[in-house]
Amino acid sequence: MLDIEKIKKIIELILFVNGKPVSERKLIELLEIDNETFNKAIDELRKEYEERNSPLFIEKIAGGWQFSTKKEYSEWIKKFLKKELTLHLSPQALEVLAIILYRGPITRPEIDSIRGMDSSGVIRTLLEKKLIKLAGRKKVPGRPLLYRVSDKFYQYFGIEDTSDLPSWEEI
Amino acid sequence: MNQFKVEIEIFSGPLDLLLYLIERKNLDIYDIPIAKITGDYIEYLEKMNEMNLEISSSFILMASRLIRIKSKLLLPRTEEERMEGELEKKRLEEELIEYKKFKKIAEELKKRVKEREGVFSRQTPIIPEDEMLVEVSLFDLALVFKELIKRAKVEKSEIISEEITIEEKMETILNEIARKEKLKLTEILKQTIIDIIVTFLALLELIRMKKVKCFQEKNFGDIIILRGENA
Repeated sequence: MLDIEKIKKIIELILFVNGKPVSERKLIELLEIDNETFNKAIDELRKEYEERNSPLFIEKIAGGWQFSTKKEYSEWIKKFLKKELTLHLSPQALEVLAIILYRGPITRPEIDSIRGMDSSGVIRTLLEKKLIKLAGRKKVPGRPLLYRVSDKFYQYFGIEDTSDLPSWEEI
Repeated sequence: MNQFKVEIEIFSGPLDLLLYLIERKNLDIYDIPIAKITGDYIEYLEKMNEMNLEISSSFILMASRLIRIKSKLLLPRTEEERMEGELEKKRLEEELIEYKKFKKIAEELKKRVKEREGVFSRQTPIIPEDEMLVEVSLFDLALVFKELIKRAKVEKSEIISEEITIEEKMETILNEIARKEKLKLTEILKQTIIDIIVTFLALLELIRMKKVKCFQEKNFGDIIILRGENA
């Protein structure tokens, strides 16, 4: 079995090469270690980044682990990318996202009926911004498309997974 | 006047407006005074109209729904009609309560974005993300081909020098797909009508034989051909 130092290095590597969150299960299978060892390794790795005051930190998003940048350096990233990276979402867009998040996979007619109005324009925008994605077709007449939120959605809103959000009953 | 306009612009739909009217006067969402709310609602639409604001049909639809419930409750012709009114009122209340919850979630999401402003994560995966493909129905396929034929170059005196048979086209598709994992329809299509038609028929035959499967990334997108079960 690999020693903990090596495990930490490998986790660091994988999180570096993969652009989106890497699930715990994938890492555990890859390294052939148990949950406990993994938790210990990831905790230590995160602490190391913190202690050396790195501009990067490791966080759990969309049910997986990934590198993110600290807020205090955001102006440099914006300056480098030469654009405003904040997506501007209308109240309507947020509403539709909320519905897809809690009821997805869901079809457009179902979203329309919850909102009491047409949502096709909003859905198109959300697809373009890649905050939602297609999830096949519903097996009902007309076979309408189903929508669900994307990994980018979780990244953008900084949501770990659905348990990170209030439950329907709590709202 | 200005104040009023600002308020109007933030309503994302008829339910949003109703919710505002209910909360403004602290009315009970579990037992909405229908006559009162119908009056307020219509008054609001009238003001929007006066200000030449475009009122989308969904707002009008809600107005007619409110009036229908109101008339059934206040002037029922039969007991049955009154019951119907009660039921419709209940349904509207349920819809409003559900909608209110989604609005709260939307606010929570907005808060999350604010908290996270300035944090960036890796965006472009080095390893390409699996594209989400949707299986194409015959109807979608026909739509795409209809579009292609419309755009095809029509030569008035089209002389078909080389005849392509459906069998040959099927061979071509199968060969291509054996070579690469994934084939886009536009890659194998020439711009003549005859070729488009032959390709369409060849594809239909191959789908029937389960040698290929057709997918789309989005509605009206390019058709993506993958190997089928019998390939």
